[in-house]
Amino acid sequence: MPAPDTHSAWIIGYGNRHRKDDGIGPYVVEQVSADLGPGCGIGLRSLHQLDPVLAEDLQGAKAILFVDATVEPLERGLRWTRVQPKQDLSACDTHHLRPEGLAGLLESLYQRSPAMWLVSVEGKDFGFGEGLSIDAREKADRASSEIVQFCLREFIDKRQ
Amino acid sequence: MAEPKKITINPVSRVEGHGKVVIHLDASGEVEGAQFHVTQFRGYERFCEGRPFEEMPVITQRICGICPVSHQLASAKACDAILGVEIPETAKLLRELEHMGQFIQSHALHFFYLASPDLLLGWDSDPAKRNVLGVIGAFPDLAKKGIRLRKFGQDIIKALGGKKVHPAFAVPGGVMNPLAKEDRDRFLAGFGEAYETAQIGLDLIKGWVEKNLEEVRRFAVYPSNYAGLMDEKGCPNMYDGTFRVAGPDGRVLAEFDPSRYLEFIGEHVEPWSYLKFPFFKPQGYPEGCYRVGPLGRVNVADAMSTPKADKALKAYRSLAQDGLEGATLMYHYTRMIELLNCLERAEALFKNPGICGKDIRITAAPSCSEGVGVIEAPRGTLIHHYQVDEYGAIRKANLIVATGHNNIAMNRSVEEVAKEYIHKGEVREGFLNRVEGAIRCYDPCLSCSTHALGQMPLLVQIVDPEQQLLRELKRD
Repeated sequence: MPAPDTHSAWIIGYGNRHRKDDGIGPYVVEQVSADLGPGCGIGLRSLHQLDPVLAEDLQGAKAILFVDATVEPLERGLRWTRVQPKQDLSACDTHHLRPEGLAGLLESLYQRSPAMWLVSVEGKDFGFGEGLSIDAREKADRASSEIVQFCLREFIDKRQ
Repeated sequence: MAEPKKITINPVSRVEGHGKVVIHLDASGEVEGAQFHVTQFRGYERFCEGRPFEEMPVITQRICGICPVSHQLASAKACDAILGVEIPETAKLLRELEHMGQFIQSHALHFFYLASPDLLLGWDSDPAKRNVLGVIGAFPDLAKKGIRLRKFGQDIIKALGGKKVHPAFAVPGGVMNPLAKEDRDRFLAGFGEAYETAQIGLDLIKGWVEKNLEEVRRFAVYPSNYAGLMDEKGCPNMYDGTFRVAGPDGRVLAEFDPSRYLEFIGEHVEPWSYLKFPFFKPQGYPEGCYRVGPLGRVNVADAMSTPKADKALKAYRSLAQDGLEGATLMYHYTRMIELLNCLERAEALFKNPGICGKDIRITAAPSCSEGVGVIEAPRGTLIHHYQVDEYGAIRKANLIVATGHNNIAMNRSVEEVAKEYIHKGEVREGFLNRVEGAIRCYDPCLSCSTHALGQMPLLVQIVDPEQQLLRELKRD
């Protein structure tokens, strides 16, 4: 079967683009991809949801950033959290996982514990429809530029 | 004399949280009947009314996140019939290839994630560990192989439709995208490992059945009809064919063009469930119970269409004689035979010289006011039937999904388990695991959520005729 798509660093944005601000994760990945450009060496994925089969592609990662929308009001409109592996049913399902569940799978299946962060971005409107609300777009743009700075500092500059 | 009692198991599965089982006991505490309720109403048939028919492949695939490809294909076939067109040969090959990707990912998901905890860790092992995480802990290499095989199927879907879930591919008159030659070559290189994993699954279930013959022979066994789409040689055909219904002894009772389904399949409605109860009309309801899905297809087949799967079928048949054909647990075995069959079929399709052709869609104006599209979804036969007005707007939609076809059978399975485990109002240890296991054999769409990880949150309530709670058994 085809070999896994391996990168040492990944940015994975997930959410439902058809539920307005729930599409923040994929939107941020698009922005980051445009800023970093092709050949940046970072794996970029936009997903509807996290899925256990993703673990195979992530097995070679040293660092992973997840980006997801949240309904929770956040002080800056966004929040960075370190992801700790969790190996119980509360963190996963067969069709989708939370980042900590995916971290747990990486640990138990591949004995890998990459550094992982979840960047949560506050959304306001999760109704039917495509495109972000003005408020969410502003926060998502801020998250994108923080992520780009982080990538340049942690992954790209260090390689040069 | 003791009062009649009712046992409620709720929820059986998350199914958006809307499934439950009620066991009815007679006055002496023996099982009188079982009802597997589906209390969720989704209303797709109704809210599709008025929509342009060409939107149906997109709308109806949203019914499910596991088998959207099946809904998309059945819908596209119904739309082809409304257009009155025969789609180009390459489009047919590509649709079937997408469908094989769907079967590979779905069967791998069910066997390696959902069924394997029962088989590898044991029915009565700690429910907290009897799940896919328990399998990963105890059998990490097998879990990795299962993940890779599922991904292989998902990647085929993605290569064709751009996404693993809800792809944009089959449309009325054909498909949207051709297959790139580099994708074809990439997948062809991967079949060796895929066969190896499928064979591991097949060996595992064969060995399990051989070791647990007594349980297999006893567990939720009852005679039923079987049904599925067959090709002209009597082999299961997942994309097209004639609909064959056979009796418990394998004798063919009917074989017909599936567009004539209304002549042979009735739909009974019970007030306690939103899921309809399809039945084989010549035998009436509920005697006309039939089972679809892997067990149904394999049990009505004369042979399998590919060599590895046909060899596996022969081994299954030599083991399944003496009544084991009706054993509900044999669903798992037949699912693995089909997994091999679908891999072989996918490989043959990739090798077909026409698979990378560019003639993939035909456009036409609607020429018929009605269209029926029937395919075999991983869980069983899927029927989409539309009627349209002069503008092509849907006037009426009728969908019969695999879980519906199996509805009577699932109720019977739960009842058989209950009859074995409940006597004089007392519930024997292991009952919940078995009810869960019986439903899981059918891999119903309801399962998408809950028994997802091999564990259903179960609540058993024993209540008196006045609905007063007498006893409660619970597992979160």
